Amino acid sequence: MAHFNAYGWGFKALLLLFISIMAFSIRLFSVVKYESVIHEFDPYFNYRVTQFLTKEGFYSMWDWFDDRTWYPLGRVIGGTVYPGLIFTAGSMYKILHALNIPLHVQEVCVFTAPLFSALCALSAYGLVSECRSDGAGLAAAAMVAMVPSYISRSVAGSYDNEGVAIFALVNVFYTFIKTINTGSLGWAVLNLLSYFYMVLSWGGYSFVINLLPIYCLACVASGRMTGRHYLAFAPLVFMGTLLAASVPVVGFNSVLMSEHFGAFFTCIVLHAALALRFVRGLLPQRQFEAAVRLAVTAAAAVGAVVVTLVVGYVVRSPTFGWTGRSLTLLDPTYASRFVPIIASVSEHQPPSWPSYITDLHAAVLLAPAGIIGCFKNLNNGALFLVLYGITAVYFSGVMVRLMLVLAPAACCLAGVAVSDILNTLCCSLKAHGAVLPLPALARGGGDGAGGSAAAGKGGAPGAAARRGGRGGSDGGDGGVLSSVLGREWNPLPKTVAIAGFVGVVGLLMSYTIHCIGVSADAYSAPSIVMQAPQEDGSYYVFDDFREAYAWLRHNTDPETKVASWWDYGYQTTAMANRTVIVDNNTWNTSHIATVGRAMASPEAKAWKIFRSLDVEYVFVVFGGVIGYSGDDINKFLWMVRIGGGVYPDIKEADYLTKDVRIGLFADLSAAQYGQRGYDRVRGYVIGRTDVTLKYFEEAFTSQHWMMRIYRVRDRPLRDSAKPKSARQRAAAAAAA
Amino acid sequence: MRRAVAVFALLALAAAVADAQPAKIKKAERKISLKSQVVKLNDVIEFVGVAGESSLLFCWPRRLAERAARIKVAVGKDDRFDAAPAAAPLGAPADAACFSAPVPIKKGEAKSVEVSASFTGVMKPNPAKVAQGEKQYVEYEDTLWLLSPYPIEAQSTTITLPDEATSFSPSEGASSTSSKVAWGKLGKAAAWESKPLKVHFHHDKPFKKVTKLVREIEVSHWGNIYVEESYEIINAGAEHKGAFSRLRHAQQGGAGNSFQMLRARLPPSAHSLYYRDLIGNISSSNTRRSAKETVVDLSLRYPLMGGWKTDFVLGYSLPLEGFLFGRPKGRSRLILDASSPIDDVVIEELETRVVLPEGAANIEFDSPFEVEAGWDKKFTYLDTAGRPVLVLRKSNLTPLHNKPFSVDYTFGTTALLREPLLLIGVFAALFAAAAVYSRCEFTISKDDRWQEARTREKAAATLQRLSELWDAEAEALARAAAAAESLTDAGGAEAAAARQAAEAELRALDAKAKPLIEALEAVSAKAAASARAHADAGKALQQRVLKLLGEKGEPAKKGAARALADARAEWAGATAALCD
Repeated sequence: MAHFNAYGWGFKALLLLFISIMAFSIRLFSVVKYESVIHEFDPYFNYRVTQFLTKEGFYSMWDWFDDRTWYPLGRVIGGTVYPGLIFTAGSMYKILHALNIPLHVQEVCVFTAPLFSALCALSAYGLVSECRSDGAGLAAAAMVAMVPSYISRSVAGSYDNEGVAIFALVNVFYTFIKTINTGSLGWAVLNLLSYFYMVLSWGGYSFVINLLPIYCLACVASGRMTGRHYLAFAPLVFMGTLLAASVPVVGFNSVLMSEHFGAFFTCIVLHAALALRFVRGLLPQRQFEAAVRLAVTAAAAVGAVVVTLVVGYVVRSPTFGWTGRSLTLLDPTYASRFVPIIASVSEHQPPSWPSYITDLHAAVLLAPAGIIGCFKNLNNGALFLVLYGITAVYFSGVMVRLMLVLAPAACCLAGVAVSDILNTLCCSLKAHGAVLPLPALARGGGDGAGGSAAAGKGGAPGAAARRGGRGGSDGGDGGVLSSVLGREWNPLPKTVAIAGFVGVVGLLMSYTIHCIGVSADAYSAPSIVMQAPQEDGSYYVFDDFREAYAWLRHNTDPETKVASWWDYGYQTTAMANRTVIVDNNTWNTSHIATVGRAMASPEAKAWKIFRSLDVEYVFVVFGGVIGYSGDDINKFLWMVRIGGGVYPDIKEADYLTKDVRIGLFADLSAAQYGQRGYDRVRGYVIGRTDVTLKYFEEAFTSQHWMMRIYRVRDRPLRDSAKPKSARQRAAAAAAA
Repeated sequence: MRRAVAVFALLALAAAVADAQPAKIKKAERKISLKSQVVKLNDVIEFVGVAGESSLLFCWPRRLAERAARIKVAVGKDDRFDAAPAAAPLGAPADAACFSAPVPIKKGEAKSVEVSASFTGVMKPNPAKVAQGEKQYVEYEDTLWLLSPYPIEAQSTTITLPDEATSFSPSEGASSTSSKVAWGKLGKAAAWESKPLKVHFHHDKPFKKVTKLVREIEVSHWGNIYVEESYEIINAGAEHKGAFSRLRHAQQGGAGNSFQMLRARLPPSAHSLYYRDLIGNISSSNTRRSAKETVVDLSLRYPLMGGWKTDFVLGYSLPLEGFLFGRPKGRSRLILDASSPIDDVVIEELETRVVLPEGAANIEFDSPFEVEAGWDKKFTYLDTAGRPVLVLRKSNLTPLHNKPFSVDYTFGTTALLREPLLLIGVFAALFAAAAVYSRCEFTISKDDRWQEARTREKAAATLQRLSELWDAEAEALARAAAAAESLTDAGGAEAAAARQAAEAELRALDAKAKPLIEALEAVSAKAAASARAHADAGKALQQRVLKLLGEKGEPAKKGAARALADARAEWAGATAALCD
């Protein structure tokens, strides 16, 4: 803006502040409804590392060898973790404590994700206002602030990498576009740092390092490439790769894995294109053509050699140089065929259609409109938004989890659409002289229209109206829109405009209501505590997980090894502080397969396996008493599949055709339960009611039987000590 | 001191022996209650002393004495005091631990002395381990007669039990009912005569033992006292062995020696309660409020079978009213209960940390029992120098210890305002810094736009000052012209004077304008050129005015003056235009 506009600036700042507050507070339902506690599984690991960090310091964390997990292998934490989130929370903790604000590290961790969601909304504003207009930016920020898909991963307590990584992602894009728009070296440096933070935070950085090259190639192909693209992209490739390589978990992957080759290739293309342009300026036409011929021949020769080398390198690797997880994205059937452990995680399944509506709601409708809007006035930023949207849609279709990447893209595009639609409608109304509370618009052109936010809800409509004002020229509103849309414009009929206006505001309101509802009901449960409403309006709390973990923590030897299915590994180390055999960092499939095999084997065989792993306690999660459907019996086939993937003696077919009950696992779940009998998850009476354990001993069962902890006996009970079961008696009688 | 007492006691004893009429116990009644996990002992002794004897010695086996949580001695009805440990006199058995209490007595006079004591952790489970659902049996060992340096003439011993005794010894002379074992007439005993007493019985009460309790009491004079109590609790009864069946536990309703519930009685005004542990809220507790107290039923995460342990944190806030009292000379007195608000627990180690507001001084405390005091510092919200922390440590406490204790300290109003002032100061500094920052120029490279804006700014400022000068010049001209008009021909001298004055004034103004125009030249040639042209126009006007002053002849003057006025107005208008 040529001159400083206090009204517009202040109003914008105020709206952004409100949006940030909303983004933060909409994520606090989990604390209000439940409690300030770390959620789910992975966050417990991050929490545990953060605790270590705050106690021992940053350097010790790099060197931390964790012997409490993957017994007897252990895990090098510093080299296998994306430290962005942990460093962020750790730094916040240190700063707060330096200021004598004695927050517990858990509180810091719980509120990290909502805080960064607010920052993400600001970044989204920056991105879209760079790509399009301030109005669209505000609309996008408001939508990102409450998009359910993002809320699902960033409610208070969801202390997961995604909590900061989505902010980092949007921030990289913002600084990238800002660099391209301004051509400023300062922004290029900021862009580099944002990229570094992104690499620190999440494995999803490979999305960034592939999307940006695609965008640059698109710019080259469409002839819009300038030196500013180079300024934005080249540091990212050279310095960014160096920085990425200095993160231990990425290391040499940043030059050796196929995920990064696209960036290198694009970098070469970018150099070639710029060189071409430079040379074309220097040489006369004929000489230029000759030079091109020469260069193309040479480049083809060198290129052939390089391509051969790269292809040779890539083909040598069984996954063609891609990591398993990336390959899963490129070939959605890959995981189900080769990596059952990736396929076994529900968030790695393709999403269902309803989940798009649940997670994105109005953005599903508006995002395609936003793409059309972007094409209407295609500049550098708009092209980027379109590409971001399209690639993110693809990835979200592969894995539910990556819906998270789509969410900001869809919201940014939706912001563009909302802005354009409201613009058209408001200008039409004004052209008809309709009486609307749009004082600023009535002034026409200039700085205006900020006040029109009063007409809409939140930031979005007002922002859209402002766009109309800001783009204004002297030619009245038709001129305003023509300049925005870049074509001739005729106002809509008044009734259509009013109906459309009401419709859009209604859509945005229903979006807001939907988001709040989903946040409050669907995504706030910490999953370690369950609630059921009681008749008097209060809630009955099922707190079995923590009950059992607390029992383990206090009543077993600190060096005890505990076995369970890998889902509970992180929680066991964090809450019970005991050594586990496998955990959620599923890096060693054969180790997990060993546990799966034990769970699927008969008691005596399982006992041998567990003894060989020094296991003293085994626990299973059993939901049959209260109808908790996420229990281990429902995961049991995955244990068989994963176990069978390594140990051929475990055959999935056996468990399908004969009986799931042949394994140890069923025994542990059902021991003593037969007397009650009815399994409320699966809706049948348990067939085997006479389980008598010979090699294991019930050590603890939580109040609602959800966690059943068994002690592995030093030596099995002798047969005589075991009361004969009815079936055995029958068999003995038959034999006699 | 103790040694002196002991020596004195020894001397007294020796004197008594020499006197051949030694001190003796005429009659002793011994009552031991084993109903809870705390052993409560009550000895009523009729003591016949010798003249000058100033203390009564009483002893227990060391095993018991070490676990004594509280020993009180009462002489007659009203005199109550603590007993001090004393060295065992000569002739005592090796394992006797003695205490002395000052009992003033006359020769041959009998005085009734009541010794009451509580012991924790002296009942041994036997068998030491029980399976789930089995009953818990414990064993208590003591001496049948008082372990005493004095001969005893008559004694009775009664033990109250929660359930019938399964066995006891010695069996002679004993009578046993459903909850009592009594040795009614024990007859005479010599000094130090000792006979072991042993009772084995079913004890169904859980042995709730807090192994460590840290209470942090944080006082804020802004209206709140925060209390946070961290418990580590264990079931100190017979250990659980074998499997734990949830089914059986549910069916039997937690029979045996297990427990899951604790009851805390907080002051009625307690609010903002929380009950949690390391991994979050413990989602099962109940609070009832009455006029007398707030009852909190705490359910532990899991039932504590024998030997199982757990920990938790109970926190609450109290208002200042009723707990913090103003005292003369700017002093405040904090009065709170000294121990845990939880019923029926024994506490092995108690650490009370009283965090007083930053700036509290001259801290004194008064405890109902002997404590080990220390000091610490705590930094919390908005602290700069740290809050003084009074740390009180005591081990082996029973519910009887829960008496009020008080802390007195000086705390002024200025100290109270320190934190808000700090906040105000920090924010003011922040705003000031922002204000200064926004007025500073940190540009390293000055790009064209910046340069342009800066030039325009400078030129505008110079022009502004020039225009002020020119306005003054216009005024001076107007005055001179008016003078010229009003002067008659005759006043030649007057006219000359006026002319001189006007000339001087205008020259001064020109001198001031000249460097300004030069400065303008440096900034913007264009602006300088127009300013110079304007100044030249002004000069021409000056000439005309001065000429007018020298002119003779009314009519010519009149016309010239009118023309001059127009020119002047035009020039002034040009000034205004130039500055815009």
